[in-house]
Amino acid sequence: MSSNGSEPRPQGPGVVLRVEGIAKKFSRRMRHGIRYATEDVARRIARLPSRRGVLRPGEFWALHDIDFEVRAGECLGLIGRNGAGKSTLLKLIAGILPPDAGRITIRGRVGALLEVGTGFAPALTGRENIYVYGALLGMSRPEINRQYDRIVAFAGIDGTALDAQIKTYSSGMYVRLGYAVAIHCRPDILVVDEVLAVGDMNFQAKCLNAMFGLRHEGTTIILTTHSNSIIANWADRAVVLDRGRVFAAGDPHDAVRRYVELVGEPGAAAPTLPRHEGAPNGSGRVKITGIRFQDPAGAALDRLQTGRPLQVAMDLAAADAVGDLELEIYAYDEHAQLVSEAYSAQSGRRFSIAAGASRLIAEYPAVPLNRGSIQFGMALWADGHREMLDWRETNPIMIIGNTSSDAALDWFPTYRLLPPS
Amino acid sequence: MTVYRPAGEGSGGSGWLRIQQIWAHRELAWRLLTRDLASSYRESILGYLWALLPVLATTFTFAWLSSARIVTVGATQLPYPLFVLINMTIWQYFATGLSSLTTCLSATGYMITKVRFPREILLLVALGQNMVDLLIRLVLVAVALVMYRVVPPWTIVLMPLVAIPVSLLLLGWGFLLSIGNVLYRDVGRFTYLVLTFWMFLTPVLYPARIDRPLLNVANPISPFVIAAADLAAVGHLTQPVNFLIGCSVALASLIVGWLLFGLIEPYVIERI
Repeated sequence: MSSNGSEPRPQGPGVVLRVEGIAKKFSRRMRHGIRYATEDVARRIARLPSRRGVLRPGEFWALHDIDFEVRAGECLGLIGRNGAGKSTLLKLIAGILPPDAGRITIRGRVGALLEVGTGFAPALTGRENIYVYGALLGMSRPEINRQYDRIVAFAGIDGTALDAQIKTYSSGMYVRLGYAVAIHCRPDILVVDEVLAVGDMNFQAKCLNAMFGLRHEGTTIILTTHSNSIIANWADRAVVLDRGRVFAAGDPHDAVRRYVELVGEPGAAAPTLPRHEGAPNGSGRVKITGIRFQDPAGAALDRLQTGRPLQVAMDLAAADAVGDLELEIYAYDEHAQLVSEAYSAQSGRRFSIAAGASRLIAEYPAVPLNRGSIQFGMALWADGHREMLDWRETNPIMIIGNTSSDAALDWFPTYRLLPPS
Repeated sequence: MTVYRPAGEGSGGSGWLRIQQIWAHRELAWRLLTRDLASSYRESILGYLWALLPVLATTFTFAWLSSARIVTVGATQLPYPLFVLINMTIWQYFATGLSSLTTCLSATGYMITKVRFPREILLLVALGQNMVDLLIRLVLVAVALVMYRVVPPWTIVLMPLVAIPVSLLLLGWGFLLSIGNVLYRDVGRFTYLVLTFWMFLTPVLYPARIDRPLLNVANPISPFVIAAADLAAVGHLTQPVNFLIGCSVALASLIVGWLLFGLIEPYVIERI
């Protein structure tokens, strides 16, 4: 799939990445996928025209008509909801998946950080894993030797721990080690997918500083993140993807605003829960099966108004009766700043729920933000905060300003448990 | 400058280019090989002895069955246990190699979808690991020869070279089976099942029968087991034509398997 510039194209000055008319499709079902793959291979062998450019039943465009270019030393942010195609696009740029149409032209070495610590072997020591991971990221042995001390210093892991098998590492150490290697592999184009979501705050800040420090040395950065503030603060340009297409592109602040509008659209912001899907979120003895934003009368809200009350209603499903249940509910704004965090136990509320379905409502007396959007996260705890039962986050919901309000603006909810109906 | 285009378009994917790519990633292959070796042996008590145990178990079992006259095999040039041991060395190289090559892509899907490198590397790493086991077994053969005070013909030093055509065969089939196993895990299980019976259709536990010529050549691994036994005991190849046919089949398998792998792999990666 890669060739050495058989057809050189005119490139603007300093353009290191050019994405032209890129499309990628996937099949929803394995069965279709295998049939189509067989067909594609057969057509290639028989030298028949490819049908990669058209949709067959059961296929959908994960990316369509994507065009943009990135200049040396720029930082491009990709934003979009889950499933918008961000990760797929990064995989195409990293050369892991071939496109179905279009072309991607790259000048220089791409370092893809799609997951921290890919290929770490638990039975190997930290020291050995630095070399394995470095090799996977495309570093040669002398290169790793040169950077070794800096990698270790950056990870902040001491000598004894370095000689221990990494299965003994805490998850924080694991991530720090992985990140430390990745930061020091010095590609011309660094592709980062969502990996800033890990590690503690200090280490995240250190990574951001190091990553953007690379830009002074000419490294180009392409990243996806759910943190709009990272995009707004660090990116030179941003591309908003929506359902596989470019929805907006340009100035990062504008792009973030367009994105917030996009997810704030009525209907689009149904607070269902794509984040953390599939990953185990707690013990599951009680599950949050649905979340709904509503007004005190119980009517669903698709946007919030300043100073108006808001109820976040959670449908719970319990396998057995659970006592001593606590709700943690937090909210952050579009810049990923935490605006509220509350534990029901702070208000003296612990719940006992019966087996089956029940509904828990957290009511905010008055939404205290004037504009933007917020995302809620909620975690259910039991056993004196020792057992997490379930943890969910909503999609962002938009807030529209409302000038007249004399309600006390407050981010502390009151709680209500509705018994099984 | 690198250009990524839809699979099958442009000049990309030519054989020579892919060989260059594989060569460029030799350091990664070495790292992955040492990683896998270290991991698998560090997490076990017997460590490298695991390369020997299946061979020893089979050898002891059949040596006993034969000495107790429960099964009778024809006359063998070498003492029967030694004969089984030498044959098992080549057979195990093939059998464990085929199993591990078949599962190598599906077992490392987590890397394939996160890092770009020629996927052939993964098969080569699996083969390399298998080669290390082969070397350990060859040491066992040497020890056994000393124990039995057998002076083999000088051609025994050529015996390990039989692993070369076997490797080609393994890679060729591995290219296709590994992709099959990514799509349907049945492929791996089926391979494992077939290998169990396959050993009995290969002259591993009994000497090759000249009156059953079909078994000696239609079974693509037979010529190599026979050749290994010949080099270790007879001093020349008793079935040179079959050996050449076997080598040709192995080479053809490699070429066809690799070409198909290059064609199919881009379409399969996205389904991991």
